[in-house]
Amino acid sequence: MTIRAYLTGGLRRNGHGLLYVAPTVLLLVLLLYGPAVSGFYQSLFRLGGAEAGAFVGLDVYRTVMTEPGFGQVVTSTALFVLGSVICTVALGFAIALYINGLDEVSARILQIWVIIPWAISSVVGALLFRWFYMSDLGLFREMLRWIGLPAVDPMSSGTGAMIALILSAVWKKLGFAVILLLSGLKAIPQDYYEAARIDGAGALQRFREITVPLLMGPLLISSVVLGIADLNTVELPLIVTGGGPLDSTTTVALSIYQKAFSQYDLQRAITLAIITFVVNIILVTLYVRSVRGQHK
Amino acid sequence: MARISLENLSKSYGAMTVIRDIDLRIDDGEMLVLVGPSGCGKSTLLRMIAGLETVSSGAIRIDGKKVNDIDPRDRDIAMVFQSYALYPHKTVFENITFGLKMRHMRREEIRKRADDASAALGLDQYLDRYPGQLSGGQRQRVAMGRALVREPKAFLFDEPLSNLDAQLRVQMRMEIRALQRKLGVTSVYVTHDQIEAMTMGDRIAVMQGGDIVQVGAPLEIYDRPANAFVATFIGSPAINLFDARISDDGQSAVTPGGLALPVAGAAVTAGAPVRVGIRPEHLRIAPEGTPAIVEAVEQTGLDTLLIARAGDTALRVLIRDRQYLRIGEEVRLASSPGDVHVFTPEGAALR
Repeated sequence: MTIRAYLTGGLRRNGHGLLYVAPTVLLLVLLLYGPAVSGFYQSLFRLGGAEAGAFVGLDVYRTVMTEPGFGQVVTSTALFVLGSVICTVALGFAIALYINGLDEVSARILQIWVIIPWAISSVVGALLFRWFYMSDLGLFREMLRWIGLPAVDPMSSGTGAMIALILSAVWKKLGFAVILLLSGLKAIPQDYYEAARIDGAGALQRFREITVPLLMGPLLISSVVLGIADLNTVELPLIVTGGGPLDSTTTVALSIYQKAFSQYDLQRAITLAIITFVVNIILVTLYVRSVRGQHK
Repeated sequence: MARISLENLSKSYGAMTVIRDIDLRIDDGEMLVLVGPSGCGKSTLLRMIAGLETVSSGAIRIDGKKVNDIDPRDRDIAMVFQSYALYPHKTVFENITFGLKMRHMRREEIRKRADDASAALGLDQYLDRYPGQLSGGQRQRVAMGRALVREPKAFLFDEPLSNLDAQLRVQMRMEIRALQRKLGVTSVYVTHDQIEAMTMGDRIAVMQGGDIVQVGAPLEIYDRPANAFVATFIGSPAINLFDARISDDGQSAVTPGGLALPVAGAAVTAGAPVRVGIRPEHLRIAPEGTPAIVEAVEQTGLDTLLIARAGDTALRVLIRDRQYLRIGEEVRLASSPGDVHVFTPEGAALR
């Protein structure tokens, strides 16, 4: 089909539909694709200094990716994203299973309870954790004292800070995973479980043979959505750990923010942002695939 | 193969009783059909036998052994669900053999049983497909296959045909019945469809409001309904049923509209109020009959269904051949004493 035929034929057939999606497409082009393309274009030129405006191609990418700090940022980001996604989904799954077995009233109360952190502004949530972990008068220190453990400042080591950061991310997003997985659980017909019981499957076998495979879609979807959110969150590492100690919790999103707004190194900020954008697109593709897989 | 007996079986949810003191014995190799309108408790009763619902009081015995507190998996029964309950993420083969796998049967034995069952049900071609790729009839067969391979003591069927179209339903009910006869497996079959009940059961148990109101062979129930409810529920087109009073000579029941039906032989008292019923096929056009006006004519090709009004009583009349009658035409309708069912005003049969 020629492009002309496609355009005229397609327009005639889908004219209405195009009209309806036009505002969204326009907004996305203006606010997302436009800046992304323009950002990529700018990243190909020297942005400041003596040679401002000179074409450098992908040189900056090479520089950014071979700089000593880059490996640390990738590791921290991967640790943070994987750690919080795995913990959130696993814990969310467990809680969803528990809520699914409750009576209607308790189930509703618990659902609201776990969704509240999700609804709280992330800056407020992050500040709560900052105070929670404060080394001199934080609640965390007090809690350690109550159970007779020596006071430890989690922020004094890289591992401690990463765990603290992951915990705050899990706390923030747990409700989302619970609600999504719970609705997935509710969508599994009771008949399957009854047939399996008669077929001789015990509780563990029913879980493995029915619940897990039928919940694969929601599990994948929530993992990808949470992964995208964790990859892009700035306020959580910025406020809870500040990226420290010694950049051990500096994720790529925080790194972009720091380069752009505290070091005014726009060149590196844009380059990193474009790299992150590509990773995001990969994740979104995964998301679309898992959604499509679920409707098969 | 097994004998199933239900003794004083009851089930309540809080203050609501859904199964009331049921006593029923299902013989070895018998196909018993539980039939009744929605909400009569037939599915609950079946699920109690399966072990999916708890028992409030009374006992369920399989081969004499009380199974009230025994897990469904250990009752050695197989069930076919109305929705089929096929696992969508498993192939036909995996669906059929799931119960065997759960029981850790040997691989060769599983393969052999699956092959036998799929051959019997014509599923050989579809073993590698997923339920989503099958037609309704094929899914129904897979659900049957899953029950067959288990070689259980008893089959439980929960309205297995109600999601099929009419033609397939007729075919499947014959196949299921033939298969059940061949295997000789004790079966309990729940349906709300009285035709299915009539054609499939060795015996039928008619349920109403959590009670079994009558148990018997299909024709026995059809010919001698225990009460007005059974008379109405079994038979299509439905029996004609109306209030009447026994004449002074005790020979006929007369409706307020003046229609008289012969009741000689029934245990009736002259002048007593009764409910009388006559099946549509037991009314015939005859010169000695009561005059009635034809109000509607339905030709099925095989027979003719009339709605005819005698006085203020509308009657369904089923005639075994083609009758070219016009609306508004007068016919004379007669009946024989043996065909008239007489009930008390509350509905109990008078014989």
